[in-house]
Amino acid sequence: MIGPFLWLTWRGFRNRTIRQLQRVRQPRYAVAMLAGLIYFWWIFFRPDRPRPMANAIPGGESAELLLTVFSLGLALMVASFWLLGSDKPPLAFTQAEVQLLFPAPITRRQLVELKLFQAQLAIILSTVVWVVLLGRRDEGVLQSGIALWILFTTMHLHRVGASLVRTSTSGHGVAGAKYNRWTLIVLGAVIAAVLWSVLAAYPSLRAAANGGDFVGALKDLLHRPAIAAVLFPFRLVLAPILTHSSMEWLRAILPALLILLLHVPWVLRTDAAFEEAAAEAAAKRAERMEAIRSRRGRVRAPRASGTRTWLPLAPHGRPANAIVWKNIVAIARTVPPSTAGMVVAGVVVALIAMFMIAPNVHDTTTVAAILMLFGAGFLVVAGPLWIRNDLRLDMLRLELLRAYPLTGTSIVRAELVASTVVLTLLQYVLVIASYFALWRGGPMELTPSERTAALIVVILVAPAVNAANLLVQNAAALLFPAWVRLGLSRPGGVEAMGQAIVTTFGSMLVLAFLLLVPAVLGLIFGLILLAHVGYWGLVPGAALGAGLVFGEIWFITRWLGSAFEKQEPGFGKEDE
Amino acid sequence: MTTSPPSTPGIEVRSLTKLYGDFVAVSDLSFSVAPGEVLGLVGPNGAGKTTTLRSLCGIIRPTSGDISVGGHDLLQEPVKAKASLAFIPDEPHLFEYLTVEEHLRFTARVYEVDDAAERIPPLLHELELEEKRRALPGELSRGMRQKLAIACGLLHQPRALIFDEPLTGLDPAGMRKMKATITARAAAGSAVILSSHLLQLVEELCTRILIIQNGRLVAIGALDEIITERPQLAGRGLEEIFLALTGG
Repeated sequence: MIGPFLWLTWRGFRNRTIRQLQRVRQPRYAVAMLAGLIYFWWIFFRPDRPRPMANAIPGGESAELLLTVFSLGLALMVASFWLLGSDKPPLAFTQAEVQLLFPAPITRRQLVELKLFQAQLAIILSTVVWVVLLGRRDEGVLQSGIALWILFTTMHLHRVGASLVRTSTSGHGVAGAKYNRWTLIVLGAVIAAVLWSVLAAYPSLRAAANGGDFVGALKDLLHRPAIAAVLFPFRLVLAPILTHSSMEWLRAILPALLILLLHVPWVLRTDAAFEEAAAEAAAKRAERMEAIRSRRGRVRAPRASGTRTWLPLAPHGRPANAIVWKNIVAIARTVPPSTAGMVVAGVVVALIAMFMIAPNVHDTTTVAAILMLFGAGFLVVAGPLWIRNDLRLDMLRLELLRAYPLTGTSIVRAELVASTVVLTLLQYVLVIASYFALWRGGPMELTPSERTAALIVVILVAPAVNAANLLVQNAAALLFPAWVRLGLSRPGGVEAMGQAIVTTFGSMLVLAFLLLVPAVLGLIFGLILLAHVGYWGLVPGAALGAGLVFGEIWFITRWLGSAFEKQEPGFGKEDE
Repeated sequence: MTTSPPSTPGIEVRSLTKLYGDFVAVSDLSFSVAPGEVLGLVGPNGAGKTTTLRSLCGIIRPTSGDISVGGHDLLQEPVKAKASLAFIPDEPHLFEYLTVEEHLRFTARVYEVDDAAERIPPLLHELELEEKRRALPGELSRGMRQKLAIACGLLHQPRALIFDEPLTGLDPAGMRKMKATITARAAAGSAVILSSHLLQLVEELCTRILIIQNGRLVAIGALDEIITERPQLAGRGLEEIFLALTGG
């Protein structure tokens, strides 16, 4: 059966590549392709690029430390597969695969093999990229390639297996747990071993955090027998990447290969367990329904269940505000659960680490405040790229939006308001929390009054800067839809990367142009007042600058509104 | 079938032309649909039906010509014209992150429906969406998604209704209800345009028929009027007339 799958994968790859090359005939894609190729060259092939593994890998204690650190990183990644899960269902089949392959005379096992086989294309590409990045030479290239391929394939298989067990256990209840009992027993043992070791080492970690050798205490924890046993398989998989000689590599590759080969039957078995658990759960559901039917003579209509509204929409008011409401609801429902989970887990880990490391509460709050301020600042740059509940999400529903009895200007403004509100609120939370965390003073010599003035300046300036930044992103989506990532999918290919680079560069230029005059005028006004009334003089300056930015946005959105009314659906078809 | 459209049209189209570059999608098309009338828009694939419907809804801008909906010029008063209109496409366009009920509340707010709280429950009941009111579109079947799009279209009781292949994805009971809904809305005074390849449906529901080909009007009127103008078609059904006029 591998023949048709190989052919399918190859033809898909070939046709996609030909299509991408054909698009280069259009100037905009040619420019993007050029930008993408230059970027690739700069990252992978420029003469002075760093080659971390070009020379011999350090031996002795350094190699041991490297292996321990990498094993820990890999273990944490695997833990995230189990704890946070994946955004996609395990073995997600495309619509075409479901329609064409599911009714075909192919076993479920063969379908799973197809999916695992298809993943190899991306894995091999990643392997090539990493081999180039690591920069090993001579025989090291092939050895490094094989070692990385084993690592990536093992990780992929583990991710699929973990996802199947999670889905089966959460979706099929007792039946799911029963069919995956051995996996769950092993998982439970690993969790117990880690918890037991951490609890046993906690007193020494705590003591080390308050003036002792913290790194040493951490090393001791990692070398405890239970933790070492948990990390052992990860060390085996990583070992071939960090070997010094061909002989050593040969000795290390066999255990790594064994770990990979053990994953194959585990994933196939887990998928079979998934199917059996689903069938058993369905049979039990049918039995329960039958029992209810025979008891009552009829089946009670199921209660409406599912997604609930957390943000009410007032029945009356400006119609365009409904779009703001819709987009704010969208942000909560389109953020992948794993992303939200990762943010929460990151915050929890950071808090635990801070309380363990910082010797007293005052230092902890100062560190937290600085981190939050850093986060708020980072959101100015990265926020508009992450928070996309605006035209970048809605341009794919242009046909629907155009049919609404709303002017183009009101739609564009509503779209802009939605993402600006979300981004600004996030920053407000961080900035206000850090303001209170620094209530008793912080690293900067500012009085409480001066800190309050600084807070108000940020509160005034943040929405203006965010709105301007998001205006540029939305204008790009509206005026150059083929250049901007629309919706939640991520396009691939060199020219897609080039488009992203060109768009980012262009957006930064336009944003700088938008903010320049208001920033200069607001700053001059603020500095003049600063000389007379102190820090509070910056507040009117910030208000002036923000007001000017909003004025610019007002006029630009009017123009974009008329552009919206002229934009016709179907812009993306030629690009697909 | 009835004849002679009343004098105050719900939808009026004059000399509609739409070009895509050099390609003429619709050419000099004029017709009107009166309140209470159901106009069947038929034509072979690529005849310009979808372009015509999208132009009528304000989704695309015509290259030239005038369109009036509910007495409002679509180009001069687009908001008022669109507020009188509902377009129900063959492929339902929904927001994947809004539930069934939220779609209706959102639509009510956009169309400024004051008594939405009273209108939504019977509409959900009529379209058998009550149990799915908290479901996201991704959790709905194709037919249910189509019903949701229809519910959104009917919520503001539009004066003009445009259906593009309205029976796609519906089960037999859903089809029957859909046909009854179209008839009822027309009886309540809405001007209805129904585009479909199902000529039996068109023959059953439509008071007049507009046949287009290559973006041009081929015939318009009640079936008997079309036959009167073309005696050689006497005694034939819509399917045969359609094939004869479009050279199929």
